[in-house]
Amino acid sequence: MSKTMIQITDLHKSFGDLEVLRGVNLNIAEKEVVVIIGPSGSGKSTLLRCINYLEEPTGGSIVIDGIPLTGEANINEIRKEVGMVFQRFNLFPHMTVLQNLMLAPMKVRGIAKDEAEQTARTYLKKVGLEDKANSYPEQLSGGQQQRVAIARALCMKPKALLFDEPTSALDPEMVNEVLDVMKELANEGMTMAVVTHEMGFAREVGDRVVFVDGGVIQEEGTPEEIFQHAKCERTKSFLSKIL
Amino acid sequence: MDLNFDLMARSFPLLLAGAGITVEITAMSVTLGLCIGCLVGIARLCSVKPLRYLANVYVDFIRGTPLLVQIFLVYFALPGLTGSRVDPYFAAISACSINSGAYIAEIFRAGIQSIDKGQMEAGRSLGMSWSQTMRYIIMPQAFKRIIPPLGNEFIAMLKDSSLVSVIGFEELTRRGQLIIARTYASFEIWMAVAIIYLIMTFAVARLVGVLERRYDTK
Amino acid sequence: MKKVLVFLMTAIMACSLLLTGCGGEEKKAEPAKVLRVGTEPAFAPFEFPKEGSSELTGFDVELIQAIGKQLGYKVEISGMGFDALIPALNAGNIDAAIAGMTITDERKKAVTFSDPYYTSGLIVMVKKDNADVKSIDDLKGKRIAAQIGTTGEMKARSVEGATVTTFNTQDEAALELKNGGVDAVIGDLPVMEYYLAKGGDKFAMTVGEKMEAEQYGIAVKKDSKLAAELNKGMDELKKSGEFDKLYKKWFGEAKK
Repeated sequence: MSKTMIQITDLHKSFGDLEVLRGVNLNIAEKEVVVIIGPSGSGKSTLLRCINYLEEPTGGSIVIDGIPLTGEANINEIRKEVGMVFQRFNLFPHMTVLQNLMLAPMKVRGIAKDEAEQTARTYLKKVGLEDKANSYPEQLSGGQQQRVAIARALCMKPKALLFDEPTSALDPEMVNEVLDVMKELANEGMTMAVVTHEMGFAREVGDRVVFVDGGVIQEEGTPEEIFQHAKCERTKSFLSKIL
Repeated sequence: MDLNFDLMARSFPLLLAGAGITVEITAMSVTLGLCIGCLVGIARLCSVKPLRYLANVYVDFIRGTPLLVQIFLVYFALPGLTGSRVDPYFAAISACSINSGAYIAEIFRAGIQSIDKGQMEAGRSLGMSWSQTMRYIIMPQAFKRIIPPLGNEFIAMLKDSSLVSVIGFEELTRRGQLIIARTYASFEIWMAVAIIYLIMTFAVARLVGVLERRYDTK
Repeated sequence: MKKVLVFLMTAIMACSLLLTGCGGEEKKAEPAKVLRVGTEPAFAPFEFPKEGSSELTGFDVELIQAIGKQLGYKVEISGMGFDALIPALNAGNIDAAIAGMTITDERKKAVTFSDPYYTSGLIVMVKKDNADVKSIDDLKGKRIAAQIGTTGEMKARSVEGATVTTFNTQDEAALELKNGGVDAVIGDLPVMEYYLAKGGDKFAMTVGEKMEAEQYGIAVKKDSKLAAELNKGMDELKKSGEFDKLYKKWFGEAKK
């Protein structure tokens, strides 16, 4: 196996008295696609948000590409390398699609405008939206917005991408256009951690499926191991409800 | 009651000159108040405790005391403390802008808080710092929502600036008082003063409406 | 726009006419004899609040109370800006104004005065360390403070090239001098002297001769019969010696 991109050790997170993560250990290798599944409230989104430091862990350590995450001190450095795609897209409504894509590369990486625009157009083409460069987010459908959000994350040329339920806010007919983009990225060797309820995607694209419940990883394995031969009772009961 | 329309007409140029000064004080104060309010509004939301505390004290003090008292404090009380005199123009502008700043800070705070949390998260997740995200993502969106209450603040300051007349500053209200002190024609002059204020506030309200529509279509 | 304004003005005027009309009827219906007196309450020693209270005292205040008592009136005193007194008389908000008001031809056009009850004059006040200003003639092109609507303001405005700043009270004008905002204050002599006697002499002094022998009178609404009534009351006080007693109490010497 290749080198480890994300290394999570004994991760804890509490919101007041509520303990959401209770010691999570997870390693994600370079070019690996890890799909995180679990019932709502299980802590899977919080796990992802901790990797991006949108939530501050209460304990444990996170190492990304060999650099330990130490909070505000180096978080901007880490975030440059790890992109995040949100459930609700979170595009910047006051900017055109192109401006959405160019802002961070120019301000964070200090890339020249022409180059940033070239990169932006390349990734827009990749997600099939090159004709929407000058549209505003509100003029796009949900699926288109999410594809722009993915392109925006890609423009930072990240080493890994985190997806937090990227299709949950979409109308059913738009889910596939987003999943197709994600599949393509996976095939190209992008390191990905995906929280989703799309079991078809997990089965087809995931190198590994992780089942989270009660703030810990209950079971993990290849899609086949999890979907056909689950050992843990909780996993079986969860899968029986959604499949 | 026989009204002296001739006096009213004769007084208009003098009053209009005063109105010019009223507009000047208001524009200066709201502009400076905008700078103060922007910084203080952000400080009230920032995670550095002493800064937040200081901003809260400022806003509470200013909003909890009348502008009239603040003007007296700056003009008559401050020299007793520092030993050097305060220029009336400086006193008027500083009292009004410090006052305006507190109200604008609240407008900014509300405007910033009305922006979806996901915007800050999206900005930060792209590697932008807090201040970069604030500057490029949050503020431009917040500003759009701030325009109508900011317009109200401008109109309020246009009217409240009449209080600087107590330090002998000859803006519109003081000009009116001075003419009445000589002519005793209080009805005619106050009527004229009211009409001029009305025209000014009406014009500002229309201007804000135009700005609002322009920003709405991006 | 124009139409709206015309409409608004007409509406406001109609309302105010209606209100003044109502006020008049109300007054007639009132049986108790009340004399509503207006004054500007920051003009010691003529009118100022008693220490630690909002109740007014001073020569003017005690004089009008004595006159009222003589004539069988219940005197109600209310404070307002000096520049608001004559408009208030004309609007019928008050019946009489006693506020160290100098009888001038200009004011006589707007109101009627009682007989004079005090002879005053104007004086220039400067900072103690000011060696340049010896009299009003030295104030050309200088900065002068005065109380709004007073004869002091008018005098100040007559000084060639001078910049005049007006304040709502005499105290504020004096404070402006103290803070260095102006070079001089022009105001009524007895008031300035009282101010200096009460601690103002630490930084200020009066210079030059007393100007414009001015006479204070009680103002009433133009052509009101109240003026004659007040004169009658004042005459009786003078005969009984009470007027002299009051004068002595506030100015330390019997009236010349």
